[in-house]
Amino acid sequence: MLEIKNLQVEVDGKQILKGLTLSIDKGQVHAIMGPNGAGKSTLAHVLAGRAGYTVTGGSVLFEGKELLELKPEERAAAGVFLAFQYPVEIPGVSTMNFLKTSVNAVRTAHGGKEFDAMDFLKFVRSKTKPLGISDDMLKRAVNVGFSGGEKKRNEVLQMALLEPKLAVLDETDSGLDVDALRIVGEGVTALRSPENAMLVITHYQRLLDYIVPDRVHVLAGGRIVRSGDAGLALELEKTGYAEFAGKAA
Amino acid sequence: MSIGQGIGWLDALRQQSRTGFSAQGLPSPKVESWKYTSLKPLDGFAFARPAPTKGKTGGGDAALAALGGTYLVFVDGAFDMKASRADGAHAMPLSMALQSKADAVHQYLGHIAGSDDPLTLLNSGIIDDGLVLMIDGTTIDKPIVVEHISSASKDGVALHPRSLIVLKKNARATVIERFSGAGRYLINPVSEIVVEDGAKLTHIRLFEDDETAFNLSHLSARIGKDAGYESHVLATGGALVRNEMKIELASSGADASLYGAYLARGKQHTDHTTVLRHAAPHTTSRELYKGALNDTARGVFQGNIYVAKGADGTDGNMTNRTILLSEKAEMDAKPQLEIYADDVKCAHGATIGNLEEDALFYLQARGIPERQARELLVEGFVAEAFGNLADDAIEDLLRARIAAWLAIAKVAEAA
Repeated sequence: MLEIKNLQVEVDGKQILKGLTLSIDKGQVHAIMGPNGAGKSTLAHVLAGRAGYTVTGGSVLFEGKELLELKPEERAAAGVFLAFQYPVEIPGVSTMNFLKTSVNAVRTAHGGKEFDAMDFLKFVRSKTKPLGISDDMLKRAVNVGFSGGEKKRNEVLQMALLEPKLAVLDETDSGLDVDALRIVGEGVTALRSPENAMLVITHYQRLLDYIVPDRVHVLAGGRIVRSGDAGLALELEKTGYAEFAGKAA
Repeated sequence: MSIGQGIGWLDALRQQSRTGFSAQGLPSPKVESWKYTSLKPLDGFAFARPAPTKGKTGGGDAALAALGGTYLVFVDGAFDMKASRADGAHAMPLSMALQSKADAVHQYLGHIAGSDDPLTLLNSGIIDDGLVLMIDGTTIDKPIVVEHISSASKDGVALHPRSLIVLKKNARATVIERFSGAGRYLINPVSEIVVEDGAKLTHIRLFEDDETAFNLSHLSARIGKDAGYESHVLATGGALVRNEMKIELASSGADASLYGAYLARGKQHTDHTTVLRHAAPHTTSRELYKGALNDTARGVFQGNIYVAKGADGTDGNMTNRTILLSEKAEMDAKPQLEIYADDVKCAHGATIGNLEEDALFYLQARGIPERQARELLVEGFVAEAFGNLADDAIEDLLRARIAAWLAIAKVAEAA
C-alpha cells in the first residue's frame, strides 16, 4: 500500500530525512519510534503534504502512485489521513460544519453525493458515541477550548468519518492522561481492518499497548536503524534510545 | 418638501444646523479622527435632492422581510408605505411620529447626537425620513427590520435619514437596519438612541450599499442604569463606509457590546470609528471588530475607550483583528484608552495578519480544497464577531452574507 524508497527531506536547508525506506502492506500496523529530533514528525508532515519541506531525493508510492506530487487535499481524497500531534484551533468554524465540509469534499472528490444535514448528523452520531464526544463539543469551534484529550478524540472522530486507507498517527498519545489514552487507543484499534493500514508514530510504548503493531521501526538520524516485531517496542521501553544516539549524527 | 415642515423647533434645528455646517464644511484630513479616511472622493459631488419616488416601491431583502414583525422601508429618504408592514404601534416613520407624538420626538431629537460633528449638522440641516421606535417597558419579540434603499433617481443624490430609538425602563427590542441601493449616492444617516434603566437593545446594521456609493453613518447612544446596548455591524458594501458610533455609558451597571465585521475588496474603503465613554462607575464595555481585506481595499479601525473622572470600577475590553488577503490591502488600526478614573480594568489589542498557514493545511489535510478552505477560514474568522448573537436565525443570515461575499471576492487568487 505504502512504499517509501530512500526518502530524503530538507527543512530550511538542513537535511532531516537521510534516505528512509519503509514498506507497509494492506492490513498492517507499523510503528515508528525514536528519539526527539529523529525526523518522526517530518515524515508525518511530508506524507500529508505540508509546505516547508523540500524533498531532495527518493519517492513515496501510495497504491502504486506517486504521493508527493499531490496537493494535501488530493492525498486526503486518495485515502491518506494524518492525525495531528497538535490539532489546529479554528475559531468561528463549528466542529460540525468542519466535519461536514471535510466528509463531503472527500465524497465529491470520488464522484459521490454530498450528505444532507440530517443524514450527516446520523452518520456522525454513529461515530461519536464510542469516543465519548458530545453534541455540545460538535457545536463548539474546531478544537477551540478543547482539552488535550478532546482534541485527540476529535482527530480519531475525523479518522472514523473519513475511513482512510492509510492513517498516519503523529504522537497521538502526547498530552493524554491514562483514561484519554485508553479511549483514543481503543477508538483507533476499532478502525483497524484488513483493508487499511496504519503508521503509528510515537516516542513512548504506552499507545502500542492498545494499538498492537505488526512491525516496529526505530528512526534515528533520519534513517530506519532497526526493525522488529511488537517486542522491540517493549525492549525500547526498558533500554531507551541511548543505543541509537551515536547513529543520529 | 421636507418632513415636518412648519414645526417650529424642527425648522429652527434645521436652520441652525445648516448655518453650523456651512461654517465648518466636510471634515478635512487635518481633523484627527479623519486622518485615515479622506472625503476627497466627494469633491464635486452634487449633493442633490432625490427625485420624487412616487409609485416606486420595494427592492428590499427577502430574507430580512421574512424575519416577521415590523418591516419599514425607506426609499430615497422617504417612507414607502406599500412595501412596509407594521406589527404593533411601537415603530413608525419619523414623518408620522412628528404628527402623532411630536412632543416625545422633540424631547430627544437633536439632544443625543450633539451638534459638533459636521456630518451630523449636515443631516440635521435636512432630516430625511427614518425610524422612530419608542417602547414603554415591554418586550418586542420579533426583530424590527428597517431598510434604507437608494433607488439612484439621479447621480449625486445625498440622503440624510434620521432615526430615533427610545427604550424606556426595562423595555427590550431587536432592530435590524440595512443600507442598500444602486448608483453613486451619498447616505449620511444619523441615529439617536436612548436605552433607559434596565432596558436592552440589540441593534444589527448591514452596510450593503452600492460599491460606488458613500455611507457616512453616525450613531449616538446613551445607556442608562443596568441597561444594555448590543451592536452587530456587518459592512460589505460601499465605495466608502464610515461607521461612527459614540456610546455613553451614563449610569452604573450600563453595558455596551460592540461587535463588527467588515469585508472589503477592489478599492473599497471601510472605516469603523467608535467611542465608548464610561461616564459612571461600574460600567462595562466589550468591543470586537474583525475584518478581511482583499485586493487594494483599505480598512480603518479607531476605537476609543474613554473613562471619565469618577467612573471607578470601569471594565472595558476592545479588540480589533484584520486579515489581509492581498499584499496591496491596507489596514490602519488605532485602539486608544483614555483613563481619568481609578480602579479601572481596561485592555485593548489589535492585530493585522494573513490567513494562518497551519489552519489552511489542517483543512486541506482533511480533503477540503484550498479555495474552499480559505473561504471557510475567512468566514470563521470574521463570523467570530457574531458569536454572541442570541438569535441563531439572525446569525445564520449574517453568515450567509459573508459566504456570498466570499463567493465573489475570489479569495484564493490573492496572496
